[in-house]
Amino acid sequence: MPVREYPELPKELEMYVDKPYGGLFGDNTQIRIIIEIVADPYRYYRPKDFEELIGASAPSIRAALKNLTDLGFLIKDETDMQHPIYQPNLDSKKLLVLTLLSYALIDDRDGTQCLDDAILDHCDKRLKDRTQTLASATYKSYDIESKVDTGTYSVKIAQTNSYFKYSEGKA
Amino acid sequence: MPDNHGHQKDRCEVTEKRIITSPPKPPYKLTEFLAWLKKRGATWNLTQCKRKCESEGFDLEDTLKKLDTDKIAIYISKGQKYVVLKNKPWADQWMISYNLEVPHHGQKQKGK
Repeated sequence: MPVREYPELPKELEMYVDKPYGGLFGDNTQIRIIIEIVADPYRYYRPKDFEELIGASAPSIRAALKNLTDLGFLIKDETDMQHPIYQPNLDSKKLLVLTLLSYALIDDRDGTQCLDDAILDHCDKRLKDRTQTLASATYKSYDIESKVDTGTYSVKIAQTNSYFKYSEGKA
Repeated sequence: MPDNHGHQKDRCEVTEKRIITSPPKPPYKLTEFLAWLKKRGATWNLTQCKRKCESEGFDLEDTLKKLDTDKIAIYISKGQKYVVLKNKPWADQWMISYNLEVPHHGQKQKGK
């Protein structure tokens, strides 16, 4: 059976291979654990899993897991004290942002739109209620000092937690 | 020219017949792998990729043979093989379809 020939990896990709976040945060046990969690956030992890996945020593994995648990990135289940299980904290915004960051790195490298796609999907599926326009209105801006009407602006009213603020000197 | 019903036949005649078929939807497990690969920068060594796919219950190399090499392909560099996700918009499309773009509670946690 003939050996299948594979094409050479493009030179510009070589510097990124097997580096979590393309090397942005260096390469250590903690960032390797983070990328494993970001890549698969829907599973439970045991310290031994990380030993197999990233090939780091047990003490360095324990230290990184403790740190990531303290930071709220992981949730530790100590039902079995001898064999703790770690679960990615799906409520952590850090997990969300690190996922988006992984797409941003591809976009910067390849000129793609992966981050935009993910943000649009996130807004569409989970933030729709907060970004949906409930009403539209217009307001007039008036400069107090010069007593000049500075224009009419349209305002979209949505259910967000931010307040509309007038800039100083305008009413 | 008007037909029996008085309609202008030439206006409603189909000038070109084209059957447009959408490409087959990749299965959930494969899309999960695409998401896993993309979050790692879309390029990762074949050994780990194969291990990941084995743990998910499918053979990566068999699966790759069925896919276009303009979507995902194996490359070689310094004697090491790498899987490269080439068509990111294609992967994005299916990740969005399976709700795998960003982490959330909607997905089922895999067994303890």
